[in-house]
Amino acid sequence: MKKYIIKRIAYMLLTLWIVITLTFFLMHSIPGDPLAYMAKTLPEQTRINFYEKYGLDKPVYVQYGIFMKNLITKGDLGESIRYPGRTVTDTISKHATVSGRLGLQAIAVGITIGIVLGVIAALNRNRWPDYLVMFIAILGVTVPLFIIAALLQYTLSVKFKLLPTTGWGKFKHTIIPTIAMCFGSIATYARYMRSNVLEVINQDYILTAQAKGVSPFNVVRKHVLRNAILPAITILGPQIAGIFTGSFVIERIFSIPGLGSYYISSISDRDYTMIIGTTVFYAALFIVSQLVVDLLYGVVDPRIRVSGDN
Amino acid sequence: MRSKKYLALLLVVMLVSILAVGCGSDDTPNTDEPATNGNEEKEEGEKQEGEEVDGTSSATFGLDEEQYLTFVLDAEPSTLDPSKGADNYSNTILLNVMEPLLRLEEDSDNNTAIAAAGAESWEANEDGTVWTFKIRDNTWSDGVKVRAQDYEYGIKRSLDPDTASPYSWIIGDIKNASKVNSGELPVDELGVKALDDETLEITLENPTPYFEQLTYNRTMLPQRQDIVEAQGDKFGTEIETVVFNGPFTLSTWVHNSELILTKNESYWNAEEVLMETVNLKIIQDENARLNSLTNGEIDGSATNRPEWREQFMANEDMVHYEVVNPTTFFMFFNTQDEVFSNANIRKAFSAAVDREELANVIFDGIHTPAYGWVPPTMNIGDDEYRSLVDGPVEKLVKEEDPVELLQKGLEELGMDTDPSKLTVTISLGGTDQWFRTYGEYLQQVFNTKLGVDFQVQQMEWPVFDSNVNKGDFQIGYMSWGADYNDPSNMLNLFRSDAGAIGTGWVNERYDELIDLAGKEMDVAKRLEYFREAEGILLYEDAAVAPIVFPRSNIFRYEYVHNLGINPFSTQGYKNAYTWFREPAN
Amino acid sequence: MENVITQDKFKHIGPDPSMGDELARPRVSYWQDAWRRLKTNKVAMVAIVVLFLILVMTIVGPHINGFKYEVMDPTKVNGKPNSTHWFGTDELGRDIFSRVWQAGRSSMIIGLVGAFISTVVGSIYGAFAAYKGGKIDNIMMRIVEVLTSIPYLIVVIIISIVIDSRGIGTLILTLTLTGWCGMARLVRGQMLQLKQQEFIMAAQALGVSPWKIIRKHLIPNSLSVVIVAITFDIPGYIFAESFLSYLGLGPQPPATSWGALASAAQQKFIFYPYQLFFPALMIALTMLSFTLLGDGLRDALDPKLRQ
Repeated sequence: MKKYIIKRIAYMLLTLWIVITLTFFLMHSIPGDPLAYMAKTLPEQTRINFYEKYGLDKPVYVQYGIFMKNLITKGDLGESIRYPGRTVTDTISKHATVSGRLGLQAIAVGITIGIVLGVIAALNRNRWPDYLVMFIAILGVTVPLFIIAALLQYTLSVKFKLLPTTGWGKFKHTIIPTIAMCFGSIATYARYMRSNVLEVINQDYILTAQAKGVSPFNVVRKHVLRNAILPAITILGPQIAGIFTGSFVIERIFSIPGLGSYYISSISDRDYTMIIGTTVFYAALFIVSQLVVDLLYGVVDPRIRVSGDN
Repeated sequence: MRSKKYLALLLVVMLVSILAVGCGSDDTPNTDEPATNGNEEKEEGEKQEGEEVDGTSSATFGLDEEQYLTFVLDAEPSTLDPSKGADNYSNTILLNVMEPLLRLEEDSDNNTAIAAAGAESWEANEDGTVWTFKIRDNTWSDGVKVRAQDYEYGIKRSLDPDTASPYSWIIGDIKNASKVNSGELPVDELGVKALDDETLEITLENPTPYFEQLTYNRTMLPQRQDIVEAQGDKFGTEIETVVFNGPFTLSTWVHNSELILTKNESYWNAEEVLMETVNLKIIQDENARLNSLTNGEIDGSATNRPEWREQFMANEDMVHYEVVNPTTFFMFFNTQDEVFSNANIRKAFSAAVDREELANVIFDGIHTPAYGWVPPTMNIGDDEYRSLVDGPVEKLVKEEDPVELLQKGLEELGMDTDPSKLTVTISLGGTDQWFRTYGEYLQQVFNTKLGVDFQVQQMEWPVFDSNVNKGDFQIGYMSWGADYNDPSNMLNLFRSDAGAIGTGWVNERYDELIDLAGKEMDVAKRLEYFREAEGILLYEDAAVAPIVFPRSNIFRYEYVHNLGINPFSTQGYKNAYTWFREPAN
Repeated sequence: MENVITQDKFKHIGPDPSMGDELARPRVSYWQDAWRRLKTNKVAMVAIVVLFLILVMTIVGPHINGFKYEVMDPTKVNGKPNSTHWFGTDELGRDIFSRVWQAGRSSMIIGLVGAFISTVVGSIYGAFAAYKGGKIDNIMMRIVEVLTSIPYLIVVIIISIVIDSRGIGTLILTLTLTGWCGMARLVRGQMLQLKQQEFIMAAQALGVSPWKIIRKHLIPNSLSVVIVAITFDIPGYIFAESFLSYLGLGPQPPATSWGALASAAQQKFIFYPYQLFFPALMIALTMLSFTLLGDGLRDALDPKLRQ
């Protein structure tokens, strides 16, 4: 097991390096530069000084060398070009915390509701509560997020003035964004739970429990749920990366200072250091979560338990 | 809501009548004319407040006891380092927390005039090349006295090539500025010198008629050498890394979310600043901004969306201001391109656009058709340039037939004179819905009017920017906003060595005229130079085709007063106050 | 020695039709059974009908009421739905009914072609990786990880510059470029399970070529999972396109899509709710139908739920 994990970590670093390298050369190959945001064509000298200051005058492979050296020796992702003086690491940690808080809240709500709906649907398989519950569960993901978010904002805060339209800092600011964001998890978990419960419910040990006279509620609670939820944990893995990288749409519509907007804005600003920084962050989270999922599979399903030589 | 409004109205009537009895004078502030002599009104208000015995008297004047405002920034300010960054958002903040040498103050008619700020007086020598500023007694927020050396250091740092300021070019008129900026001369050779703690002397390359207009640019703001050097690269990134000497200090800065300005008690003119707190929320999404305005979560915002405009105009609690921006939206031609090297073809494309119709269809009649290059609101001397000079495109549209011009141009080039065989592409530097609609409209116009095969290419702004720099385009479209209030700011862009707008256009006479105007202090003569130059640019050579001058529609709740609307004004929030704000729920 | 079997000990009784009932049930293939079970699922059947109707409308819809989807009419800007313009008109006076179906055509093409490409590429890639196993599998899966980690927008921008177009084809290419990775993972996982089963080992032992094993055994056995995944992939692509449209990177005019219509209308839905309603309704119906159909298919195709 230990050997396996070490091996996987080595692969992770290799993958990460390839991602960084590819992204580095790709982003420098798209036209435009970090001065474009000024929307003015600048005098040559201004551009020369600016390029020199941020090392953009050097050939791309030299810039790449400098970047890699700083990253490996100092763990330094550099300084933002668009926001002079701010380090990329600082920016990421500050804004990822915001995204993380909102994301965790949304996922917690989503999982709870999703699991409840999924179990209800499965226990009433192919009867009207099943259809109704699953319809509700799916409804929230049938239209793109930017529509849901805008509709929620308009009804809850403009029409009925229940909650603030935008902002960040207090719990009340997180309510509408959480609602908008949890629909995805609700749909995913409700559907996943439904099929898991259906599978578990036909197992012999459930029949045994029923035969022994365990009350239906306890059968569900002690046997069905426990065995059906475990596999559901494995789909949590890939979502973890998404929690901390935030949602561009939600952050834009509700003016939330999360990390999501940086993924888009750094690219349109050609803020090279920020592009690479956010990419490294996302890729690392993603790859780690892949590893976690693989390990979790082993825990949940002994048949796929990994061995050192696999 | 309704009942509250009536209640407020009743209160106003009661208070005004009390006032009329109590004061018995005609200096009663009138809620209908908030901006009229706002400053004096307040001064009197303050004085009388002082004379009254009990503290509640300020309510007698309707002046809210709690003076706060909430507005919106469209995006995160890049940095508070005056020498770095160039975005409007940090400019806005800097003008409120820093004290420039001079400010453009807005009067009751929304005209701007240069006024003393960080400098209490200033003068130029006879030929206008040496300016002396007497620095006012003012303190930094850490208690240190503001000195002329701070201004000197700020300007020098902005032009230091190591700083790499993206805005340094704007003060290129200072003696040796370009040589210092390119590293040819040491920074010490720059024509800026603190003669003593209170006197700053700035020497210019040439007499520069608009030099006062540059003094409020961020590159000329004062900076404290000790702080800048202690903070290094971190200077300007967070509140703790900067010191302030303006009317406000920045007390909160949550990146990408909110900034809070608090009145600076150590500001030299603090007693005239009524505003205690200004909250600036960062909201990028326009719908969210306007929803917040509808909700009363913010006190004002601007929009050009016709539906929202109508809704807000119908709102009795809001005041509507329509402001012409010192900006020109224009098409520009690549004169190095085979087809657009021909002046007649360029003129044909300029003349073919019905600017009235375009302004109505595309801009909902909000923006005004542009027939000149220099936008309205820009002054020459004390007069608006545009009111003195007719737009040259007007003549072009009236006198010339675009189809004939195109024929003539194609003949001159020795090309097939059948326009349908000519494919022309416009590059648009935006990918959003608006640019889509705009492209579709232009396509229809040129297809039907000139009969050419007109293609639209939308691309991301940085891609467009880079293509234009490389000369890889036929027609481009963009907007240019003036940085300071003088026609030269707009017309200098087309000097053949400026390279500002990638037309590749060179005209010797034009260069000569711009040089003459740059050194001439006589307003009438400058006007004539500019008139001729603009004629060459738009009529004879038609290197660009101005389309519209944009206007903004600003909406504010009526309790917001004396904030100013002139886009050039740099007074910030320091003169603003609120009057009969409904108590917050 | 009396054990002589004579003819008269036997009697011909002829066929007895009544005996037929004793057969447990008729022999049905897996697919027939799946279809039979799907038919009993009313929800899934409704979804199929709805999808069929939408598909037909995207083909004939733009030509029904005589208004071309791209023709502007400045006199009829932002008109409410009425008897001439059934779904109203947009900010340039274009007929929304025609536009919705024209946009649906793009969205459906993006969804169907996108899902098709990612299924083919993903299945082959995933199956190959799983079949080969070991180092090759490992390398192939790292490539998938790399592809999913590269910032997607950079890829979108680069491709639109390289191809110099932002048409539907370019969009499909950019969306599928990394879109197949999910399918590849899924198929690989499925294959890995199948690989260990006895009938594959038997085939290998008999010297069947790897390609034939993949084709004859592995693919058919993982088809049910793939088919279900396709029904989720199609609306997935439609959604991905709508997000790009929201960012302003959607199809270039005059081409349009549901996402482009919806993101344009989202800006002013307070004033013209109908401009948002119709494209949003179409997206929702499509999404809902595919999802419900997918759920139905999963139930129908799952051998464990076979009754």
